[in-house]
Amino acid sequence: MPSSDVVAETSAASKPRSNWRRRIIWSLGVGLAALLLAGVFHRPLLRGVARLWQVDQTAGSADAIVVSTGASPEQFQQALSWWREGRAPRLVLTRSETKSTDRAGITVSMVEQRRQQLDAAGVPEAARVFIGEELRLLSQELPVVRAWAGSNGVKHILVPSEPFATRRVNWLARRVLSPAGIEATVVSVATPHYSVSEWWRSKDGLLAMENEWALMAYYWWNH
Amino acid sequence: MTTNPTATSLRHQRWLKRLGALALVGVLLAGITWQTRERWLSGIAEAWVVNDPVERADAVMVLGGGAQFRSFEAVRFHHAGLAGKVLFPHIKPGADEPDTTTSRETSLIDRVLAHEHVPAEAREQIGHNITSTRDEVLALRVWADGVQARVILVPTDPFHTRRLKALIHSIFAGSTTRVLVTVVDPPGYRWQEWWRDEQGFLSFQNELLKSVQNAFK
Repeated sequence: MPSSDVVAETSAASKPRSNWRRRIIWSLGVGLAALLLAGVFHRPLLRGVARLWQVDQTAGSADAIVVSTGASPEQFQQALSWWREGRAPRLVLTRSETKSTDRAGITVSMVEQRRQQLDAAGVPEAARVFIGEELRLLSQELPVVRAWAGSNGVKHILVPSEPFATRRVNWLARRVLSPAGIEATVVSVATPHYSVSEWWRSKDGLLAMENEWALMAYYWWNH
Repeated sequence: MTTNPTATSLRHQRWLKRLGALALVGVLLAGITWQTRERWLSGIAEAWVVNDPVERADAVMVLGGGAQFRSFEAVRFHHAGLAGKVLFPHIKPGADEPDTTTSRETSLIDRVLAHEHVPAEAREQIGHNITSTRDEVLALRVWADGVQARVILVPTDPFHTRRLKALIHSIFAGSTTRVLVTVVDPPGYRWQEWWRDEQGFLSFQNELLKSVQNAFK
């Protein structure tokens, strides 16, 4: 027969163990309930993620509209529309990198294509400016924009951007342009490749969102 | 009944010592990792990338999406006498190309090959309405079986090589054709220093994710 001391010691040791068991069961229960809720309400949740991620500002009037020659046709058309609406007197195009097929004379460079589109749209030479050379990344473009804006008295620019890239563009623009007193309004321009409200349903949408998360982390770390 | 306070404080002290030792080891490891980051980040890339030694082949295949660099590498192989035929896929036209049977990418590859003096008889379009790398490798297998090819070269961007090699391994199972995957340097950055450039970083992490995704398929 066990003595009364041994019984007391056993019950004291088993008490914390049962406490832990209870905590684990509770945690599992809460975790499962959260998963279930996330599964049931995944649409509003994922839509909310997209809404939170995007930094969509309203296009007002500015001193210049800045767009890359390598930007999507939708972004370029948006920039052109703003110029036609008179939101800014100047269209500034940053020259993107030349492709191998351009160099070989097989294709026409984006710079030349945009020049032809501006001619066709009736944008006079005085209203368009091409700046920089062989710009591949946003981090290369913005310093060029800052230098041009600084020497031309430009204080406010409009920037069309791919929806999920707005956060990154806005973040880097604030770091690079704001110290020089230049304000950038970054406006989200819809893309035909995915719908922002249902981005998780298409491969392009998923890739765009995931790439932007990764790039944002990369920018935070490197800039 | 109450527990012995001396035993409890001894246990706490022991745990604190263990935690302190763990924290110290963690800090040391983090320091070493940071100091040697260039070596192991580059090592990861070297270990990830598959680069088969190039040898004389029956054909070189230009994969879709790489007209700007893969097609020029294929031209180089062809002119060096390493591949008689240059194959390229018939890629399905995109949603923004509704009035055509040949996609922009397919015709661009063909134009690059023609411009770089690869004769018409050496250029061959394979497959039909291709939408993925898997479709391309399947079309390549059909072509290889048809002509009983011995060796085929497939140049591609560095981080894509591993997934491509795995795909070839499974689709060419039982075939006598050897498909060699070779690296084409991407434009704009050195792949051995992928973490220094955002495109390099993006390419590597995209390939890692796709490989993880494939592992669960």
